[in-house]
Amino acid sequence: MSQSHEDMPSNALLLGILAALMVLLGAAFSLVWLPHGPWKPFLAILIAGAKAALIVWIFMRARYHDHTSWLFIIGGIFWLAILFTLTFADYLTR
Amino acid sequence: MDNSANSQHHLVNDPPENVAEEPQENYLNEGKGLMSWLTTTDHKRIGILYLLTITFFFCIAAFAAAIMRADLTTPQGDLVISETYNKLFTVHGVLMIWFFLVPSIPTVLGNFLVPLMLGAKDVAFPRLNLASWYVFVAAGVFTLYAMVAGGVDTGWTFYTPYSSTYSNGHVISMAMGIFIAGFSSIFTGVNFIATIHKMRAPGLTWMRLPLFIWSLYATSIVIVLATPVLAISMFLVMVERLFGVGIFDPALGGDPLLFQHLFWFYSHPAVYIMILPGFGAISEIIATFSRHRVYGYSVVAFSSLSIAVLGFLVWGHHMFVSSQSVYAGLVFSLLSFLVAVPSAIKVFNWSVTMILGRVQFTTPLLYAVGFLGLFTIGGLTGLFLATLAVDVHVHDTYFVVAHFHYIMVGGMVMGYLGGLHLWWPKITGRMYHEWWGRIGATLIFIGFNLTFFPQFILGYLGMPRRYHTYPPEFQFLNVVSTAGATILGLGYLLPFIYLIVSLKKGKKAPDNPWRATGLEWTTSSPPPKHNFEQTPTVNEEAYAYKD
Amino acid sequence: MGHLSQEVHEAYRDEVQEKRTGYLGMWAFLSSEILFFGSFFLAYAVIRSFHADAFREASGHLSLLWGTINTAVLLVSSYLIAFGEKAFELRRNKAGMLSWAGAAVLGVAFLAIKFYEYGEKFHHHHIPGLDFKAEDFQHPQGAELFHFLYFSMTGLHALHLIVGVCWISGMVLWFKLRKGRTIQTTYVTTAALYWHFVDLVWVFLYPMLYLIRP
Repeated sequence: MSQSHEDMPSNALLLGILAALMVLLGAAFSLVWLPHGPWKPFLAILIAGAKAALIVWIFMRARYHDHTSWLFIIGGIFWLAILFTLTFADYLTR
Repeated sequence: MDNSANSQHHLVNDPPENVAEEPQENYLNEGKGLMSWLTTTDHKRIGILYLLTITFFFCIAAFAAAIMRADLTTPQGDLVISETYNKLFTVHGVLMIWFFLVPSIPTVLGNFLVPLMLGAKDVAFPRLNLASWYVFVAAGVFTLYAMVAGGVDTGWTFYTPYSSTYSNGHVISMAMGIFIAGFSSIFTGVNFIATIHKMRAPGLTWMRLPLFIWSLYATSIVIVLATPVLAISMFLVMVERLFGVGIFDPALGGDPLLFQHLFWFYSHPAVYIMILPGFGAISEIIATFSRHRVYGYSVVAFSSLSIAVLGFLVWGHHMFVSSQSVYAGLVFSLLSFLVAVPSAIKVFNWSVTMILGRVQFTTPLLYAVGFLGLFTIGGLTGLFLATLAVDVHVHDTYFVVAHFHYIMVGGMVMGYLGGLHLWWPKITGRMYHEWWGRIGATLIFIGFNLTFFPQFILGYLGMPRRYHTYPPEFQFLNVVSTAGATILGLGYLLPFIYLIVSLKKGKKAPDNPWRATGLEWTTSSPPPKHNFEQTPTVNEEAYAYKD
Repeated sequence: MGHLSQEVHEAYRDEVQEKRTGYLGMWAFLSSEILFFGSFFLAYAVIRSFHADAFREASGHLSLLWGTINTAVLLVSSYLIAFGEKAFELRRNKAGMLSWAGAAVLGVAFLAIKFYEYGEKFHHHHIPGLDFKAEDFQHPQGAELFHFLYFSMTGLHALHLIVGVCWISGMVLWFKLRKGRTIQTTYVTTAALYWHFVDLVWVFLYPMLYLIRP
């Protein structure tokens, strides 16, 4: 982990990510006034996912580290997906 | 230094010859007094702390089992009342699973051996390692309190809404103990993952790792990803009991099956948390005493990883007779058959290794051979249970009890004892008495089969588990089972005695008494505090046996 | 890079190995945390599939304004942590400590707002199990379960945040006491990862709890 500037986000990038997060927060907030529909919760979670991706990618430095740690980032999400998929395989086919 | 080990791992500098020197510096005499043990961050000493702790829990849990077996010799159950019996099987299950089997190989042999096998000075996070032991002890205190205060009668599965609403026992305290014990497991798992990824000696590539390391890596992944789900299921039971909210209570709008999904998402993979480290120990034993590389090394290594993944896809087979959807049942049944494949591959490869090698029937190998037979029976009967229609017949009977004891005791405990014998000279610097060892291993094998084989028949004939009375026609097989348990108990007592005796009376162990490969055998017995005088360099595969 | 290493733990060869190990180890722990909170998400999804209308109704009883403000508070705190981490790595310790202290203050602010929201719930007798005023809801059964999940999930999150605040402020204090000496970036990296993760959890709790109102 050399301390050169290439291994870390620039100040402008950090600020840019913060701005993007705030825009996404605004988008999620304004969802409340949109007409109700089954797509709404999915959209809200999608926005949350976008925020999460930005945080993981830049704030948590996934972009700057070796790929071993990705194994556990993706692993956690994949195992959560197993938990949801097989549990709902039961609930949705009762 | 032994010649064969010398040629396997070309060290930068060979460790000094030290068999003859008397009071040699090692991790055992490095610091004196109780405090030096309680504040140690040395992975080897933490392994010893765990060894003592889990042996204590094993004894309590075994005692509970002994009372149950004694009670079952008569159809009326003359020894204890039903309520006491319920509390006994709960204590037996909870302690054996979370306080003996889950921590057994990882925290004792794993803690001791992972850094040694990797050529590292310690695990990645030594303080976290010590913390895990303290957390484990704290968890044990909660659980023992629940036991002493009056016990819990829910069984180790804590099914809702019985555990959350109706049971009168000390469920909260025991659930708390399990909740906390989970964190101890997670700390150990995180430590092993980081250690195996980042602390390997120069030249020790993934495909040169001992299979013990592969299996502990797979175990750690399962621990890290499954245990938090158990923690939440226990948390929800506790909160529901405390506040009377009905997340698992259909009368209050909840769903009891949600608990079963969460619980078995952990507790089925927990079977692999328990058995995968056993696989690792067996691989080492068989390679060492067949003097041959494990046949199909990479297949055995990757089958551990595939078990770690597939093991998460089958939990619904515990819920075939619940109100789970039939279609989900079909999927879970199919996936359960799949998980048998990697296990079968391992058994096949171990057998071939023994055929190709020159087998020495030492104590650890006797345990390993016993493991192969018992694990195969346990695994094949698992296929019966994964079949939907057959499971309806034998669900909640002694057939299930026999099946998982063949895996957990016949498999895991044999693997643990075999491994303990294999590495005992390295851990203590003393040799145990070989003939007593062989007698012990044989007694355990005979006693085990006599205890649990009749239970397959009892279950198939319809004797339900978790009852302490039964129709008189089942008495003969129950008496046989109890007689077997007596032999089994004697079998466990033997190693307990001769291993302790060996500490005083045993011959001094050379660095590599089995002429085995592996970095742990290149250092002295017992190893010095920092494991190696010089960081070793590896340029060969594991199990490079050349004679 | 070796010349920067000051106090490498004896188990490690150098600081690079130590830092990479810390980063990976923390992620392994966080993958466990994903499943920890994920189990709650599953419970939420299952119970909500039974009581969809009740959940919408009950969500309307939460304060959207405070929820949104709290989300913004945490996002800014995450930015400060990321900025401070970089400062520590570039040996600008003063800037690092200042922005981490700021993040800790924002963490406390979040907890204060959360505490106020809990107080409102007590005030309205919306405490599941103990003191739940069923008349306020058209679907009291589902609403009570929603409130149960609300309290458990935000409570567990708040607990994580309390740990985070103690960790971050403890480190700032510790760095201050070690004035003039350089700071091990391993500790900075792991603490930062943990903080970001606590933030991540809230990013998902916010739409699940606050944004499903009718």
